[in-house]
Amino acid sequence: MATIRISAPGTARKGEVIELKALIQHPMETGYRRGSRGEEIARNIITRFECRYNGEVVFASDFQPGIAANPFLSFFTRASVSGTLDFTWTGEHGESWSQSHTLTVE
Amino acid sequence: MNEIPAQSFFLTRRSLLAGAGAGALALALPFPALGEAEDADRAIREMFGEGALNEGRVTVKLPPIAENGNSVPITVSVDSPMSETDHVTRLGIFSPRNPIAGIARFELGPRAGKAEISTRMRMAGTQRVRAVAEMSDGSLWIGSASTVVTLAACVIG
Repeated sequence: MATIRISAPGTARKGEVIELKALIQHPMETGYRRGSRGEEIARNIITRFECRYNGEVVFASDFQPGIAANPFLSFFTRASVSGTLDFTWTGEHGESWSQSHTLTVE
Repeated sequence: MNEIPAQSFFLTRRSLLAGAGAGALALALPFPALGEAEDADRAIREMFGEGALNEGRVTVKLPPIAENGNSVPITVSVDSPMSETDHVTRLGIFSPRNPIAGIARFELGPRAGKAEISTRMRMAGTQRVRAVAEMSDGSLWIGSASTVVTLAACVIG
């Protein structure tokens, strides 16, 4: 299980634009590297990230190997109603990781 | 009679050096420059189509010098009100030097509130990274910033 770090406010005023930060532990192996015996290291990257606000996608991203290992993202959303923010990462071999965050809007 | 050969010697030496310098420049400069522009241009066209690219509205923030190309912080912001009628729909980061020119693509909308994203990217060398934003009216805007990379990604793994 990959380690996920989410940084987001727990409460926000209605209409406030909040910053969300998400980081996941992943090698983002480019497929260009070679191991100590010269063997090719197979490509293994996360290709997709989605942030859902009460089920609706508010931010999404497609990654290429040009994104550094342990991909970090910072982005914004407008707080409208209390609910959950779901952060989901999907790897190119179909594996996926997710974490939820509860946001209270006053 | 002694001075004339000496002077001509210096002239030859100088012109030789100048010639060598120009030769080295000719070797070093145009080839990466040509490849750079084409790869990133092609990737931009593949993602955003053939629309006109307008300079401005997109700001790319990169450190002037990156010691390690494996992880370089990058922030892209777009001057947009992010309202229902006028917002950024897509945002792409492109590298003219990396093996794959497209770095990442972001999907935004009016619910983002603010058109700004940050991430960390790999850099295979010193380059001018470009970012393209597509607005809800279909217009395309481009911005760029450059970073000097001391230790390139891919080289050290």
